[in-house]
Formats: sequence, structure tokens, C-alpha cells
Amino acid sequence: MVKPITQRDSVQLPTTDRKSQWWFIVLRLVVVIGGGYVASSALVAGLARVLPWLGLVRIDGVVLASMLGFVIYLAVLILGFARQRLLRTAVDLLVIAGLGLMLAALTGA
Amino acid sequence: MEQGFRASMGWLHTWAGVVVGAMLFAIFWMGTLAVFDREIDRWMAPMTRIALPDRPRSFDELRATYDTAVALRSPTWTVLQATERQPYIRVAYRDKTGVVNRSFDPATGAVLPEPGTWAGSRFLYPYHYGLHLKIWNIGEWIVGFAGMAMLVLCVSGVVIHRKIFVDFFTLRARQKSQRAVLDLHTVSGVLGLPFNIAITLSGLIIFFAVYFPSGWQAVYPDKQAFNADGGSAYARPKANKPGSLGSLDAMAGEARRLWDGVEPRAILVRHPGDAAGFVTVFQSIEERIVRHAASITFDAATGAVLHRSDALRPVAVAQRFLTGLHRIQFRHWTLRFMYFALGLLGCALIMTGFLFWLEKRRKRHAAEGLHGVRLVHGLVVGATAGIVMATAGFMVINRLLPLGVTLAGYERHELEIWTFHLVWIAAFAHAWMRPRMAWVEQCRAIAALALAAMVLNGLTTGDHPLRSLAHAHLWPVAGVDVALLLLAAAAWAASRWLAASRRRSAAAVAALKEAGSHA
Amino acid sequence: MREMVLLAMIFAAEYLGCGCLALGQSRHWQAVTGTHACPPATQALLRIGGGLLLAAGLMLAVVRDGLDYGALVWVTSVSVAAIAVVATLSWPPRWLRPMTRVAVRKRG
Repeated sequence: MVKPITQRDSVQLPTTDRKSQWWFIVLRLVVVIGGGYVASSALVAGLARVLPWLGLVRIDGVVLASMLGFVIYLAVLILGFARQRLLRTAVDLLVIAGLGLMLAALTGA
Repeated sequence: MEQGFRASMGWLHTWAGVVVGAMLFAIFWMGTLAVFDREIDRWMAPMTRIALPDRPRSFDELRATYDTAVALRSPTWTVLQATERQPYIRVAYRDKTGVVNRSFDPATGAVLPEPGTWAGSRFLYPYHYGLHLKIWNIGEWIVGFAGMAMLVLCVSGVVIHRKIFVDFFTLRARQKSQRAVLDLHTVSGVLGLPFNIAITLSGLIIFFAVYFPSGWQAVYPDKQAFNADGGSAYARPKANKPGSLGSLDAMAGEARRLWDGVEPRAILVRHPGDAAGFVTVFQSIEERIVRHAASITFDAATGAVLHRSDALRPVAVAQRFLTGLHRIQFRHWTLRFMYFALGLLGCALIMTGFLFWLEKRRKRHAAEGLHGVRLVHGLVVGATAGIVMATAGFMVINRLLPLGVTLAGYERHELEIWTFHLVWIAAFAHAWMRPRMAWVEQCRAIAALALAAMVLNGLTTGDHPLRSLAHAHLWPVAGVDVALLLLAAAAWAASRWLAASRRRSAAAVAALKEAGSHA
Repeated sequence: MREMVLLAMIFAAEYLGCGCLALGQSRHWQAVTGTHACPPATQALLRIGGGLLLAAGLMLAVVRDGLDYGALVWVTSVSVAAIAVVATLSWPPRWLRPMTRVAVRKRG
């Protein structure tokens, strides 16, 4: 059941359809690089609030969350460019950003 | 899935490399040089080629500059004692235009003349992380973006490389050039991978508060509150009443006693001349990898202890460890040379990546009438050979300009920086105008400039390698001279090899044409 | 003096270690000896020996510089030593021939 989907996912980077058109590449760059940064930032903010709540000293939480931010952003970039379907990437980024904001709000000041 | 993942990583590796490669080369090249920034300082500022005396000098002797700082209403006044890598005393304070740096001979206490150069620690090193673009921190953001791209390149490079262990040691140098270039790229990438990932990630983490401001913004009301919590530094507001300053040597002596004999390295006075002024005495940061200097803060007037710095917490230790690892201000000559070698390997990695891109597309683009190769070729020559040439030009002009010279309102250090940028722009222009001869001619120019810099150093300062090798305090100068000589030799050899292979291919083309016309 | 001797020993151990690991791969064994693929037992010996030599390099680095600096010295110097092996293999691969003789004799 899963196989057809993965096969469609694994098509070589297409050269003829809209995915190779310049505006789609630009859109992908903006969504993955820009959107990825915003989503990672939101998650960093959420973690910075949650970690002290889990027992870390405030400053330690901020430093640890920010350091993890680079790893999170790296993973987002790699997966964002690996994914063929841009829409799914965008949805995932919204989920990450939402998670970050939710964590921040739950433990908010 | 795996197939598709590898294909998309290949696409990502190719285009991220072509787009950010030029920037990455500049960052890697400047970072490699910054490993020896203070040694380059000594080469470029001959008045600082001083033997380090055994005993540190009195802090109180520098009182005259303190009074100047008070008169200028400088918010701080800093003294750094002489060290092995910076064998002169440095005093810094601010006037209306910016930071004023003054240097003193640690043996005699005499004022050293204004060096008239930003040399390694103020030009090459800040270029590495800020590109000297200070408006809105734009340089730092560009470098941060390139750093993330470097991490992406490392990961995607590993993914597209199927047989990473098989190709660990493979370099088929005698094969045709495309194969050899790819092998060089792979080998330097695989062998440099641990260093490249560690150095890139730690470089980004130094600036965590710049690149991920959302972290501290979510927890602290403002930057001051975050800094105060993070630095565990003592602070108190100005009283706006005049105050005096007690004996700095007494405070340094008290700090030494409280630290069981550890020598104080630096003194920072906040609010000079104010009744609420305070003095912080620091240990050296050269002793361990974790970049942290223990400090004790005294009341400026009475010398009473106000605060002692706390031990770092574990997360802070991790962050400071990575910072120290990257900035290599600790005392360790073996590691300094290793960093330098691996930095050059990183430069080779970026350059061969570019060359492979070009080699692979040259024929196809020529056949299809595309201009991409020509454009990228110019970019590659300018970004790699060009920045090396500009650096050599920077060092040549440093030995030619007399001290205190100004031109059209620009001071000497600004003229040096202008020279650097003009040579670099000229390199790009040359590479686009004469694409066929660009590599050969720029390699020749590098060889000539590097040799000229070495000879000029001997002529203008008398510290030629034979003399500098004989005196331990001149070894940094000798080291820079030897490096220049090696650069000149390598660039000369490269230009000969390139010219010969150009002649060979031209002869082959001519022979083919001849055969064609006979047929 | 002790520092320099230890550093030379670190590099020697790492160069030999990387050399053994390279010879443990058929491609380099062929390039160096000119004969066909290396017998499996010799190959295993080379790989284990290479690993042990690299471990010895780490130990020497820790003895020389302590745990923190030593680990850094090891990570960086292994890369430099490996580059030296690559240079040897790509230019005069026969320079590594003595190492193959030692490996073969050890087994025999």
C-alpha cells in the first residue's frame, strides 16, 4: 500500500514539469530556507521556555535551545530539499512553528 | 526512496556549492590566516616585534592613559598585559569616533608608535566572521548563512558519496583531470569532514544570540537582562559624581593572592572617573580550551572586593568549549599548525568542488552556447586566486607605505584595505576579460607579490629570514616570511603546470584541425 | 624536546596506521605491490593493525597533551597523516612496499 507513494516520491528531480520552472525553484528556496528559519526560531523560543520549566537554569535553557537551533535548522533544510512535495514541506514547517509557539505559550511568562 | 533522496542531495550539493562556494572560500581563507593573526600583526607592524620580558609591568604606570579616558568620558578603560603572541601592553578606551588602541613596550614602558595597519587581528580576522560589512550586521548574517550552507554541503556530500570508506585514500592524480579533480574533492572532503563540521558548527554557536535571537527574546525582557544573566558579570549604574581610582597594582596583587598565585592578565575599569566606577581583574584565557577568564571586581576608589565570578554551569561550559575550540586563543602551537593545515585543506575542498563543476559542464555549455561556465569560471578564479592575490597585495602595500601617510583623506590602514579590495576587484575583472589566461596569469601574480612581500620585509625592516630565524622573538616574522616563500613557490609551480597543460591541449587541437583539413 | 619526540611518534603511528588501513583495501594493495588482491588473512591483519596504531596515536597524544588537548591533537593530526598517506599513494605508491612485506611476514 505504501509503495506507490514512495515511488512517486522518489522520482528523479523532474526536468519538464513545473518543478523545474524558475518560479517554483525560487518558491522552494523561500519556503525551505526562509520558512525553515522561522519555524526553527519558533521551536528555539519554545524550547528556551520549556527547558527551565523542566529544571534547567534559565540562562542554560536559552543557550541549550539556541545551540540545538542550528541542528534543528540543518535537519529542516536537508529534509526540506529532499522532499519532492513542497506543500507537505510547508505543512510540516507550520507544524514545527506551531509546536514551538504552543510550548512557548504553555510555559509562558 | 533512497534513490530519490540521493538525487535531491546531489542537486542540493551542486547548487548550494556553486552559489555559496565563493563566499565560503573567502571565509575559509580568512579563517585559516586568522589562526596566525597575531603573528601576521607582528610582520605588518614592525614596531611590535619585541622580546617578551620575564615580569609583567605595573598597571599603575599606565595612569596617564586612564586620565585621558576620564577626560574623554570613555565608558571603559582596558589594559591587556603582554603575552607570548602579543608581546606588548595594549590599552583601549573610546573617544567620540570609536575605540582608541595604544601600545606600550613591556620592557621600557615607552609608547609604541601608531602601527598604521589593521593587519591580521583587526582586518583579516574580523573579515572571517563579518566581511567588514557592519551595517545591520549584514556581514555576520551572510557568514552565518554560508555556515549553514557549509553544514548542508557536508551532509549532502556524505549522502551522495556511496563508497565513503573505499575512497578514503584514493587520489588518481595521473588520470585525466576531471577524475583527479573529483578525487581531490572527495579525499579532502572525507578527511577534512570532522574538522569542517566541528569548526563550522562551533563557529555558528559562537554567535547563537545573533542567529537565534528568539531564544533569549522568549525568556528575557531585553538584551541587557540576558547578558547580565549570562555573563555573571558585576554591574552597577553610574553615580554621575566624580570619583577617584585606587592603586591598580594593589588590586591585581589582591586578586593574585585570592587566586593562589595565578597571574592577572587584564584589567577593565567601568565608568572611569565616576564615584560608582569599578575595576575587574581577569585571568588569562590562554590556559584552557574552555574560553572563560575568572575575574574579581573591586570598588575603584577603595579597592574593596565587590564580586567574584562564579564557576561556569555545564551548558555554559559546553558553549564556551566550542567557542574556545573555534577561536583557538589558547596556548598550543601544535594545534595552531594543525588548524592552519586543515584550513588550507578546506580551501582546497571548495576550490576543487568548483573546478569539478566547471570541467563537467565546459564542453556541454560550449556546444549549447550557454554562458554559465564562463560566468562561474570568472567567479571561481576571482574568488580563489583573486583573494589570495589581494592578500599578498595587502602585505606588499603594507611594506611600501611610509608610517603616517594619508591620501585623499584616507589614513594608512584604510589605504591598505582599499588596496586589498581594489586588487580583488581587478582579479575578477581580469578573470572575466581574459578567461583563457586567468589562472596562469593570476598564479604568476601571486608568486610575484608573495616574493615581493618577503623581500620588501627584509629591505624595509632588516628582519630577513636569516636574521629572524636566529632570534626567538622574531620567529613569527620568520614564519610569515617562509609561508610567503612557500606560497610564491607553489603559485609559480602551478602557473608552469597550467601553462604547459594549456600548450599541450592547444597543440592537440591544432593537430586535430590539421588532420581534419588533410582528410 | 619530549614534546617534539612525542609529536613525531604520534605522526609516525598515525601515518603507519592510515597506511595499513589503505593497504587493507584491495585497490591500494594492488597499486603498491603490483600483485593481485591481498589474501583475506593479511587484509584482516592490516585492518586490525591499522586500528591499533591509530589507537596508539591517541594514547600518545593524551600522554603528551592531556585528555582535552590530546583528543583535539589526535583528531586533527589523523587527518593530516591521512593526507600524507594519500600523497604517498598517488605519487610513489611503492614507498609503502616495505609495509606490505612486514604484513606478509607477520602472517607467515
